[in-house]
Amino acid sequence: MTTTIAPETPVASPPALQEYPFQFTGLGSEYFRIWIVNLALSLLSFGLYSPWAKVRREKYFHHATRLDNSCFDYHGKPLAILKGRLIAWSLLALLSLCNRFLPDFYLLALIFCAPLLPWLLLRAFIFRARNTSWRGLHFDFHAEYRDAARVFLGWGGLTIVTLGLALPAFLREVKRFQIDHLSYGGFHLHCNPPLGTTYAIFGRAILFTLAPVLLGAALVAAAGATDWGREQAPIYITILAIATYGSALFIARPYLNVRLANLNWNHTRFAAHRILSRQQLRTLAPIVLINTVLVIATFGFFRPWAQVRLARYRAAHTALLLSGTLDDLHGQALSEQRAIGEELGDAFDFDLAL
Amino acid sequence: MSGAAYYDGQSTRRWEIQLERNADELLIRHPEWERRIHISQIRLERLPGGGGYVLHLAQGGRCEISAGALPPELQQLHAAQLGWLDFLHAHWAGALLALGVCLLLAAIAYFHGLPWFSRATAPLIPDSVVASLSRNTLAALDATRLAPSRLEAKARQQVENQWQRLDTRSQMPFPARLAFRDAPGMEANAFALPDGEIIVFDDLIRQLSAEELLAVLAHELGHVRHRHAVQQLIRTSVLAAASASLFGDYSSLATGLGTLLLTADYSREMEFEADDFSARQLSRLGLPPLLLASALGKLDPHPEEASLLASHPQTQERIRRLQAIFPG
Repeated sequence: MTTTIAPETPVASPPALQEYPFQFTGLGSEYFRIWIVNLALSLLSFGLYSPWAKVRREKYFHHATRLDNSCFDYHGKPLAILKGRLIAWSLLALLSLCNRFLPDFYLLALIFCAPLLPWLLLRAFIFRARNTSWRGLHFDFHAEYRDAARVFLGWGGLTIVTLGLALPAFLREVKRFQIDHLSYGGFHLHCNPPLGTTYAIFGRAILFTLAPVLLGAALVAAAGATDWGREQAPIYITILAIATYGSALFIARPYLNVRLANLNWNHTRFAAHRILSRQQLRTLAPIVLINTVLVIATFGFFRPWAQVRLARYRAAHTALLLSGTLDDLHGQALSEQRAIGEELGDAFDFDLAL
Repeated sequence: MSGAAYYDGQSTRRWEIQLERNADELLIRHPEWERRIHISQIRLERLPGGGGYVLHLAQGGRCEISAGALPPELQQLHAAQLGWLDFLHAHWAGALLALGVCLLLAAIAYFHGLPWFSRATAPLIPDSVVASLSRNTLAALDATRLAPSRLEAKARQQVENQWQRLDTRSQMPFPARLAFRDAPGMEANAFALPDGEIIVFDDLIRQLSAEELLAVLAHELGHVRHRHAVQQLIRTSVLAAASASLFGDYSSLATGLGTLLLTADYSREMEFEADDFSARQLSRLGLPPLLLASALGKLDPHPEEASLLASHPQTQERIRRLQAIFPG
């Protein structure tokens, strides 16, 4: 026998998986033109144009993302988004009016509004999924209110109660909620990243952030033994603070993004197919660094290029591992295909990227 | 593989097709079937980065066409379907126009909108918020940079006496009070907290004559009268929110830095307003309004060192302005 099966492979004889890489064809210069016109019109219209701006932006990024020679598409209707935003804004306005004129009832109002939050988020996920398509087939999102409440009120509340100790678990639950309830062509996605690894990644990110502090504390302690060292202490502390900030921004945060994306996607299954994510800190960190510097130096005007560079990086480091072909996807799922049509209109829209 | 594919909207199956336009009809041709659609029922979109075109069919289904494979007749159709918004989005001229509009709006918002907004909303901030904010600020300053006043009782009484001469009541949004502090290592100064408490440094009292001090106190009283500190706070918050949305998730560093640079101090207009208030109070007492100019001259002995972040970059300008309004 010459075949060897890796220990973590659960299936006895898996069919050969074929890799279909994602591609991103967007260009910074092209997206800049969309972005700046969106910005100008949104400003001129006091924000009323922003749903139309959002649709153009989403269309651009969906259209630019390709898989197996087909692009994704976005079908959100600006008026549906405007309706959702107006309702959300009125809710916020009501709350702040309550805070001003009935401050005694503000806490009560907040408690009453809390159960609305999972519902709003659920509507947003449903809206986003149903308005995303590939090869003319729309995604769908199947969660119930109680699923959303369990994640956002339950795990969210636990995070607050434990002073952030449950944060990695909460974020893992949010990711699972987002991916697990997603379906395409009648097949559900399944995401189950190991909890221990999630915590280990957060632990290492904290360590990266604190590394300059630990290193610097040792240096300061050593220098503190001399008079000269004591005089220079404020400079050391300033340098340390900057180094900590830099390491959090340019190492710890990209590390967190890279490793969590890899972990979550590599533990995602879609029927017999899998998703492959192989982002690396070594290759992403320079992009984040250059993006940040240029965005600041250009007063924000580099942002469209920065977003395109990130999207291109993510697409280039993600792939679909298919057993069979993409045409098969649907053939097996045809009978389960739900009719999704006019219900698209009812929408709450928030910018929650998948 | 030809340059055009058809998807029926029911399955992911890719049908390689040929597209033809025949007068008002679009012909989608596959070796096994054929579909005819009136051109009023199709919508063409260009894909990013020269990725080709999408053709949406009103009755469902779509075609994806690679960049070179769009028949010229359909290219004309696409051009005809573009609106003025598409034109703006697609051309650099539109981008430049939009950039100009953004910069113009930003300038208007910063120089007119923001002062107007902060002036209009300052009275809406609840007194309790203003008070707790002021207490926290003073407590933080006391803990770090300020020390209890070391002024003798007599000198302090003299300052109190000057203070009593001012009209500290009419039209004041907050009760104005006087407090003394020593500020070792800081320049001689006085400042007003948002809730009406005016802090005077020992050095200021030592450096100025009694009536010059009166002019400075009246100036600070002007800041209280017009709620300048609250306005300033609103400006800072709005700018922080604006630069946060501009820089996005890129950096709180940029946000903080930008806000700091843009709101290093009260605006010129606020200083002028407080100067005028001081001049009116002095005139009411029969004192020369130029006392403030002379106090400012003493406090700013190095006018050539003015910099962007100096606490009073416009001191010389204020002196010249006062001298112009009240000659002699």
